[in-house]
Amino acid sequence: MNKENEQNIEEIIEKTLAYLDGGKSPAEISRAFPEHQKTVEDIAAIAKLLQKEGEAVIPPRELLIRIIEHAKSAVTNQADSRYLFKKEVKGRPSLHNITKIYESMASKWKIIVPAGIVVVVVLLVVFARSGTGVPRYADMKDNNGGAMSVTEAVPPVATGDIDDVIAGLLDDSANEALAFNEERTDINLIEESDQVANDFGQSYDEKDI
Amino acid sequence: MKEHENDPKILMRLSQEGDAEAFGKLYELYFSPIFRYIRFRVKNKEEADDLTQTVFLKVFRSLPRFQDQNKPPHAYFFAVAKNTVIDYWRSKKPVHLKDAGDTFLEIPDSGSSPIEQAEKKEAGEALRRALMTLTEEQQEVVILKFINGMDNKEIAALLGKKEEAIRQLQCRAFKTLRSILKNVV
Repeated sequence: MNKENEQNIEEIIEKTLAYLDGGKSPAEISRAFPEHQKTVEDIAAIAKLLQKEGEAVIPPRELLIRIIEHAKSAVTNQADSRYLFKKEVKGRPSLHNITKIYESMASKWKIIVPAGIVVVVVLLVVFARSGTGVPRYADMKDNNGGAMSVTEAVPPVATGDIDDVIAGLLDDSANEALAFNEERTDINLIEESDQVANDFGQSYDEKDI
Repeated sequence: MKEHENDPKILMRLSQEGDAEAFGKLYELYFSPIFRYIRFRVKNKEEADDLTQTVFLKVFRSLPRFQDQNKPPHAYFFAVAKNTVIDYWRSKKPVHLKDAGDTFLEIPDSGSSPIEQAEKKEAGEALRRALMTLTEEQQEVVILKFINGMDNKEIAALLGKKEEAIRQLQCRAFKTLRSILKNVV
C-alpha cells in the first residue's frame, strides 16, 4: 500500500515537472490533480525557489577580468602564443609541424618496428630450413639406398693374455683381407665403367664379330 | 568581427586560431552559466571563484586540442567544470552540511522587509543544504535545469544520457528535496 502510494507520488512529481516545463501554472496543475494538491504545490515551490536562487547569483565581473588577465599572462611569449593557436603554418617549418611529425613517427614506428622484426625472423627460419646447398654427410645415401657409415678399426684391448693377442692379430688379418677385396671390387667397377664409356657410340663391323 | 561570428562554434574556431576578441566573447558567453553551476556545487563563493578561474584556464590551455565532434562548445565548458568540481571534492575532507550555504544569497532584496529577507535567506540556506544531500547526478540535473535554465534534451546531450534517465533523476531529486524542505516551502 505504502509502496503503491510512493509510486503514485513519483508519478505526480514527474507529471508536475513536465507541466511546469510546458509553461502551466501551479494552479492549473493542481486542478489536474486535485487529490495531490499539496504535492503539486510543494514541487512548484521548490522549482521556483531554485530558479530564484539561481538568479540571485551574479558572477562578479572582476573575476572574469582576472581570468582573462591570467589567461593572457599564462602565455607570455607572443611566439609561443602563435604556435599554441595556429593549426598549420604552411610554407615554413614550425615547432608545431615538428611536433606533429614527431608524434606521427612515434605512432608509426610502433607498427613498423615489430613488423620488421617478424619479417627478419621469418627470413631466418626459411633460410635455415632450405640449408646452404652443400649436402651433409649424414644425409648422403649409398648405392643401395642405405645411409653410409664410417667404421673405424677398434684396437683390441691390451689384456696381456696370449690368446687375446692372437685373436687380435687374426681380426686384423681378416679386416685387411676384407679391405683388399673391397678395393679389388672398386677397381673392377671402375674398369667396367671405363669400358662402357669407351664403347659408347662406337659401331662394330659385323664380319669381325 | 562579423555578426554571424557570435555563434559559439565560430567563436570557438576563431579562438583556436588565436583570435583574442573571439576568445573574450566566448568567455563572456559562458562565464555566468559556469559560475552559477560551480557556485551551487561548492560550499562558498571564494571556492566558486577559484574553481571558475581554474575551469577557464583549463579550457584556454586545451583550446588547440579541442575537437568539434558535433557538440556545442558549452558542452565542452560544462564537461571541464564538472571534472573540476569532482576533483575539488575528491581533494576535500567529508562535507559538513552545517558549513554549506554561507554567503549564499548574494543580492540583498531591497524591496522586501528585513523579516522577509531573513526568511528568504533561511530558505536559500535550507535549499543549499538539501541540494548537498542529493547524489552527484541528481545535483547536476537539478542545477543544469533550474539554475542554468537548460531543458531535458540539452541536459541529456551534455551528460550523455537519455531524456528518460534525466526525467527520472529529476523526479527522485525533487522527491528528496520535498521531504527535506517540507517546512520551508
